[in-house]
Amino acid sequence: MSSDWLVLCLAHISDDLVEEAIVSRRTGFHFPKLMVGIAACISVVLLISLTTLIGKFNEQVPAAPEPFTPMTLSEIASSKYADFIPELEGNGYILDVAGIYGHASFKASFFSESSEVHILIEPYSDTYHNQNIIDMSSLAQSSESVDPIFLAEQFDIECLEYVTSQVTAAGRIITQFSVLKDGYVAQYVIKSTVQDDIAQAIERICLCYK
Amino acid sequence: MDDELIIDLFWVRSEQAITETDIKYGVMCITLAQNIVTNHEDAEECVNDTYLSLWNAIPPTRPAVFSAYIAKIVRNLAMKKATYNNAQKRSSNMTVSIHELEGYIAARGNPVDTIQGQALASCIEQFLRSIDYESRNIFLRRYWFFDSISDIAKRFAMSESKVKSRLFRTRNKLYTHLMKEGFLNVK
Repeated sequence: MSSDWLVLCLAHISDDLVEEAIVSRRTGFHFPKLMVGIAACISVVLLISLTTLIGKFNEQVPAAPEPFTPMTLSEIASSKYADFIPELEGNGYILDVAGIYGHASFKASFFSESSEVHILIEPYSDTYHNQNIIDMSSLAQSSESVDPIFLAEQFDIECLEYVTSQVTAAGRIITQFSVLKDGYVAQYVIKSTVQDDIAQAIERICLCYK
Repeated sequence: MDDELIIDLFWVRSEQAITETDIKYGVMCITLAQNIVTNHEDAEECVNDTYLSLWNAIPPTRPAVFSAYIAKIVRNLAMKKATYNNAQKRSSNMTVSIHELEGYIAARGNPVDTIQGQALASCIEQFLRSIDYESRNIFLRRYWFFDSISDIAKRFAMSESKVKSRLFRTRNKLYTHLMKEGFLNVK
């Protein structure tokens, strides 16, 4: 037997069912289309938000660094940066100091290798962060007086100010450079051989800031 | 024009009734007829016969649901025509639809000999009323109106595969229902 019986039976269904089938259509949203619509709306909103955010970001002009305000070690000690004052640790001098002066921040690393002490002060601010960090220790190791012009060429520094180079009371040579870029102290390299000179060297740095 | 007004025109024997019926239900009739018979000429002939049947039946009949009444007449006339056409090896949407049912229901069971056709029809109607609106009407559009899968997909704004899936599930449910009600003998 074929399924004609079923088709014939369907012929006898009530008029209301037939009428319903005649007018039947999906009245609600087509789910996939609805999802596409929602996704499109979300994309547009996100795009607008992102554009606005980028616009605001571009409007933010980096604040000009404030003029560098030098501080001595004693001033640092009485300031909120007191915790950053370097401490001497026995015969191995691995010290760090970091602080912020206005918008100009610096990080100084004091370390000792054999009889030599190197003090690096690496400036970094919003503008100069990661731009002027220069390791001059290798130069300092071999130079009792380093030609600042050579340094300028070596590290592509715009302005290099030679401060002083002098012999300490203990007969050690302290070579001191003040590396300036746009008015900021960029780096010092101090070479010494005895512990006493370290304190002196640090003091000198601070004096030089003045 | 409202169905009641069209029926009133039939009752006063106004030929405008045929015109208004054709305006309102002409497309539905020709589509339904064409789903069943093989060519447009046969479909038009079925529709014209339908109008003649309406003219002869109203009055005295006053159909409660005019659209269903017309659809049933078109369907019956078109199926008679299709029976003749099938004898000449012609195919139509209807024959395709019937083959679908054969594959899932008739092939798995036959109606018991003793039952009345009307009881089976009531059982099927009960089943159709028990399922959801969309499944019911997709089923009816396919097996009553013999719409193609693509037409149903457009009508219900869904993919063809989803229509097929819905029909498959409904057929299986109908088979289970008929078995449960004792209308089918398992082969």
